[in-house]
Amino acid sequence: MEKSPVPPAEALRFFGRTVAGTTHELVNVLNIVGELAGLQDDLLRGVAAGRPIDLEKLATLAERTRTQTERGHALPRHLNRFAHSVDHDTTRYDLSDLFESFAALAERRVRLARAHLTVRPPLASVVLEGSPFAVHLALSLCLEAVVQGSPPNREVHLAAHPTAAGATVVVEGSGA
Amino acid sequence: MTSPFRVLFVDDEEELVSAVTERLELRGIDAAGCLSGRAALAKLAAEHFDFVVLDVKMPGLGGLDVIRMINENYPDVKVTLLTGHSSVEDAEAGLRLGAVAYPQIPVDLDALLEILRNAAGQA
Repeated sequence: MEKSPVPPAEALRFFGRTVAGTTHELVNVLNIVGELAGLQDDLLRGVAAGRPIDLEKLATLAERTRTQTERGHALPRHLNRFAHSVDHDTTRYDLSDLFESFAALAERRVRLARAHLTVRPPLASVVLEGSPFAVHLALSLCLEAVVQGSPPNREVHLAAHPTAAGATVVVEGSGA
Repeated sequence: MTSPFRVLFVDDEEELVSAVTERLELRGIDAAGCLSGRAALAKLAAEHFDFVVLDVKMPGLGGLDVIRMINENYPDVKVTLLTGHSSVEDAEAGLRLGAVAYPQIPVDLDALLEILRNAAGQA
């Protein structure tokens, strides 16, 4: 069997960092939903105390809550997909799906680095055979190299170009 | 209604800042929000606030860096540090730097206001 190029301890640390960062992000979402519910309570108490009801404000509040709920649903979906990326040494995976999950899971790290990540998935479906976990790790290392020590508001682009053998993945930084 | 004090709420989650400042305003507290430590320092340079409530973990300048700079430049401004369950060490460092409290997230807004009222001597 071919030996993995990634040291197990490094792989485990990356796995742990990804889970910790994503669950932190999920806690942020729950905190926001809690505050929005609190705001709704406050507004309704105001109405009960005689303030005029502001239907537009309540409708906006429902929309704000919905946005956060959608964000909250997406995080565990991508984390679950990432967790299953270590089920087998090699498997078939779609590169666009992997990009989508990578971007969602890297969101907090990108924000903490005050950068902005844009993803250009391949135009046609690219299904590869290999270790999606290793690709996540490689993309993460590339992202780290691009944002590390860079000035704020750095744009990071992640793109894939299909080739005869599979795809070429490009991670590049531009901007400030 | 006259606000008993002015609060600057600082967190990198825009929606959280927006919801908390709206809730403070509904309680008669004059509140403003910022999305980074650097933006908070710029706001403090332009306006007076009695309290800064800030997240310990933020992009760029973290909460502890911001406390140090507030101590240096705005010694009359009191700071409350919002902490997560994994940032106890940061919270204790914040207290050593003079933070009045370090409530854990999620923070009950009325409990936070009680902390601010106590610190302002208005309990």
